[in-house]
Amino acid sequence: MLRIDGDLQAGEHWALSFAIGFGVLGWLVFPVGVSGFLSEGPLTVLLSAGALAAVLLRRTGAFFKPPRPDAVGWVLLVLLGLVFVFDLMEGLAPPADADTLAYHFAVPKQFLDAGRIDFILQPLNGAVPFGVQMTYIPAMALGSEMAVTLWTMVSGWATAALLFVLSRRHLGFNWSLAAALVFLTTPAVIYGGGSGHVETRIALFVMVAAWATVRAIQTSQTNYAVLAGLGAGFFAAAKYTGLLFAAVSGLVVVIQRRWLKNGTLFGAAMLVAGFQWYAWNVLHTGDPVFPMLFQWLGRDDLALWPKAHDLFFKEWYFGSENPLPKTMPWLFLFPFKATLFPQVLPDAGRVGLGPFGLLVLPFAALGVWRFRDKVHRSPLLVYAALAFLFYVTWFFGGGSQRLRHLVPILPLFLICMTVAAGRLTEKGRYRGPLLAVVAATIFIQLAGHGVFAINYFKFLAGGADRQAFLMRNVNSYVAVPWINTNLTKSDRIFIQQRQLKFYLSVPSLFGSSMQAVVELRPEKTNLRTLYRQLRYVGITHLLLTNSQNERNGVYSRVMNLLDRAGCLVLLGRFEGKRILSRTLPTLSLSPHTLDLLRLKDESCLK
Amino acid sequence: MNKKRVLNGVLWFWAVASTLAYAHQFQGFVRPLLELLGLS
Repeated sequence: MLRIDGDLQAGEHWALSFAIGFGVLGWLVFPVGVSGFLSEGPLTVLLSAGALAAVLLRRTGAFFKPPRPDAVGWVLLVLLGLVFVFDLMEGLAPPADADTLAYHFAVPKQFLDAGRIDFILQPLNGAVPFGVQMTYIPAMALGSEMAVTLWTMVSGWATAALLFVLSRRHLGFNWSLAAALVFLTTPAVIYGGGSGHVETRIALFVMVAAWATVRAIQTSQTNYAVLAGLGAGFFAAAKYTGLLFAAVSGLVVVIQRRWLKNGTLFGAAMLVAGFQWYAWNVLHTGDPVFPMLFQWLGRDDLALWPKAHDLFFKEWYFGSENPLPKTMPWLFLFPFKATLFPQVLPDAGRVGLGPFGLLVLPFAALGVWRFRDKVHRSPLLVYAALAFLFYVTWFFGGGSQRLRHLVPILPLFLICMTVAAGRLTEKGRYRGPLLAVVAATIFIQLAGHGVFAINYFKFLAGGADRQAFLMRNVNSYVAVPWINTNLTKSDRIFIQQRQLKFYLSVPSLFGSSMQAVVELRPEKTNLRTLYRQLRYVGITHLLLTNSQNERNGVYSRVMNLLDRAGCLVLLGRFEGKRILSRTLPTLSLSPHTLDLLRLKDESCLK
Repeated sequence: MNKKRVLNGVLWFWAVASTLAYAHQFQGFVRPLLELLGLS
């Protein structure tokens, strides 16, 4: 439709088509869901129409020009094959990541069970853009749980494929393979690529936007500005940080001759692709970026999210997610801190961006210096500008310093760094140390990926015992079989372990500061209020952590109010182990006791 | 020529030092890894 196919190599044609199709699929599921047609029939029609439309992508001429790898190329291909096996093993296992079970997969499942998209008045896990998760819904509805895990694997690999074909515009075959291999084995990609996390898949949209922005600047043609806007809009539809990317890519798009026309078309396409979830938030809360502007724009009549609780939540959340000061020195020190001393940062270390940036830094810097006269004419300057500007806006304006939130721009960073470093060594100079750091990166990351995969290998080699796998990998799962067997759909259980939501077959409520319907701050509640609020939301049972050492009772301070009043009846006790790492289970295995309790009738208050 | 040899040496030093600096943070994982592999 955009008439850009003549500009594309075969690989680019297919990889870019997948990326755009991925965004379009997520976009189309939204109106189907909001209209209340989330069931097998409409989703089959949707997927069939998409599959038939794929015929239009057919190209004349050679489908694919097979490469002729040299020895290094074959080694890299074999290593990529190994990574494929690792990822496939993960795809064949049940999902076990906490965020995935809490909402990436749990929310699509909730929508499917309801047959429609309902508004979930909850920050972080509910009222956020779900563009990528919408693509999980057809797989979940028409396939099975495994269809979704394999879909996340395929879509993660599609990102690596697009990175490879875009790299080929600037790099040789082997360097492009190496860039893809470094990407696939980056700790944050190992962690998120095969689970429900969205960042790895969002990188598809970033690459579409970046490539199209380059072409829009080079050709001044409006169709590329539209494509860039679609990429930025799909990112915005998938995560709030997409708004930052839309702003910086819009800025880059307008720095050209036809800035007004291209800028307008970029903005229009971005709005069309990205508006849905923001409008959905406005409709239900008044705040398009719930809860960030809620204190100013939010409705006052929301009993489930009063403004006093909103302020409390934000103070707690932003404080805990941003341990480093947002200052200019830290803007430049942050990558080094996150790479070498990540302990204070949420998620870094085992879910970081790996050593590649650090190791290749002097090579890339020298490469840029050597070709400083040509840099301003390079199309990669756009990639670098997009990545850097996004990083700056994310650092100062983002809600969380979790390093994996930078994964969407990681492919742009990898391409720029690899090209700059590669140029330095074109004549053979300094090739030895550069090859050493690339080999070291791949070795370290591949070893990490191999260790990560052992868990899945054990699952498959041990006869794919699902229950044993989940007991081993999901905190507090030990109570789930009993709950699913003994409670019914008319019950509702209060849980303190959000990762259980996906596997529970009965209604549940995650008790945390992410909800205000049950006040859990001891100084803000009392026995009667707590009891009334629990009953108001239909709670019949509670699954509570039993901390035997607590001085004032075995549960949390608030839940002890119910316990002391005799409002709780113990139905079952489950002994488990708290898992700190699924990959290295012996890293920390502290005993963990859970009590399954029934909430008695109101007579306990007398 | 001498300048290039020095720079080559500096880059080799960076390659080794930064790799070790990065890997250093994972030393706490050695024991759990050996236990995972049944070697401890």
